[in-house]
Amino acid sequence: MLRAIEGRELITLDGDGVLLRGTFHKPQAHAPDAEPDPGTRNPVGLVLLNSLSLPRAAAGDSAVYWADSFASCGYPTFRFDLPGLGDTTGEIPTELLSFINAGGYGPVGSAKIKELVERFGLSGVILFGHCAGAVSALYAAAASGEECKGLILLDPYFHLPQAVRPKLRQKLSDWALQSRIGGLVSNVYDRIRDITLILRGDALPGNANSSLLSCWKGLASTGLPILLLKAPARKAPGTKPRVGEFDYLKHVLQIAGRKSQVAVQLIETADHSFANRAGRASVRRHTERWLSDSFPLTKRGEVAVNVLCTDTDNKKGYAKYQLDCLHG
Amino acid sequence: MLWSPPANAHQALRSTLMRWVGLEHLYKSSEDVKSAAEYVRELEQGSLIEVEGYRWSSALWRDSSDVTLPSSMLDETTAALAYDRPVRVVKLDRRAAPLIKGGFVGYDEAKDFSWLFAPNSDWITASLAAQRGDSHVASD
Repeated sequence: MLRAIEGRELITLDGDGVLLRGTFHKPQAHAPDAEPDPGTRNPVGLVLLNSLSLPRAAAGDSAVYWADSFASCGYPTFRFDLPGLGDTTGEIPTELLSFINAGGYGPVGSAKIKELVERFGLSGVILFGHCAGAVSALYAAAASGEECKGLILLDPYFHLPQAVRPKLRQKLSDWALQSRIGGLVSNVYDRIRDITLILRGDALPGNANSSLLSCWKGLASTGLPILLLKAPARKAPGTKPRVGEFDYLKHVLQIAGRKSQVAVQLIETADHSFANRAGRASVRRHTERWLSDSFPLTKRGEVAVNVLCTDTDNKKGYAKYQLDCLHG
Repeated sequence: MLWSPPANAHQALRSTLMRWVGLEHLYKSSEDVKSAAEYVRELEQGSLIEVEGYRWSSALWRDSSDVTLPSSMLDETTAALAYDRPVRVVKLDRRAAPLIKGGFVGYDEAKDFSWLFAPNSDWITASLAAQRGDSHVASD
């Protein structure tokens, strides 16, 4: 079997009795035979996780596109299949979504991050996850401690969605999507939910994922750099939720606290898959900008050690997005 | 082993397009999405369309009809004779969604496919054993 093509190599991580299969996108600016300069340290790597049951290439090979891009900027980038997904063997529970929402992939994610950091001599990793992958990234980051240097989350969710909707409810949703009267009924339903939401005040909904919110708070409040990318959703303006839905984004930014470094960016050209050409290109641009602001590389592809602590100017642009979300 | 093979590549493209349109309806407002018929019209008028991040050309759409399943592959007996090896053709029913069209778009659940995998796995094992038996006979 062909194990490597230009710029990429198939790799396995086999520690702790779990064999994880993945792809390593080699950083193009990296010079492995050179001695580190004073004031620099080992590179920080990017790790892309599966989104729900998708293989590590993700929808439309979007993860391959992003990984190639980040590697071409000089960041070692890895895509892994978690146990039971893609090329990695293992049993996955029938209730995969519930398993992920309960942090099922957190322990293995954390163990493999440690293994990866040691094997490739990284200073740490930035975890990149989309939708359910963002949930796994948060749990893995919380379990990892020092090894996780940042998070890139695409459309994360903080509630416990139903894996399978009751058939009647699904039929009603389809009707609301496809018929004019259904659309009107849907709007009335949204308004009723909105009134209920107002009456409840700031209280979290009953289906909030409290353990995930706790992970988020623990990570964000320490000042861990986090980039949160959001696609427009149906009947939802900008980063705001649909009428009648709880504003989780506002909530997580509030509980992140004053030390937090959370940047929020709406990707207007994307759909939830982020796989469409304009959407994936926009994700690439914003992520590269955020990486260069938060984890700038030296000429030789290494992360400057002091910049993370001292360079506050670069955070101003993204801090604006956070304020927009809180006040908008 | 073939699981509900499409008669030609055009069928495969069409089912991918239908799924994509279904997902678009789920993600976007109705005024921002096109119907499958509109996408097909664009393709037939020579425009490029985008499906799951890939660009489909009208040539791809048109030529896909010419990429057909060999006629000898249509049934197991003919295929086994033509290719001189065991062939199994399985027609999947609705229970096999999302391996075939069916179910609700965007609400894929991890399903237990033991009922599908087990007999196919048994068939592979038996076919390999039979081939090994044949080769032992030949070498004797």
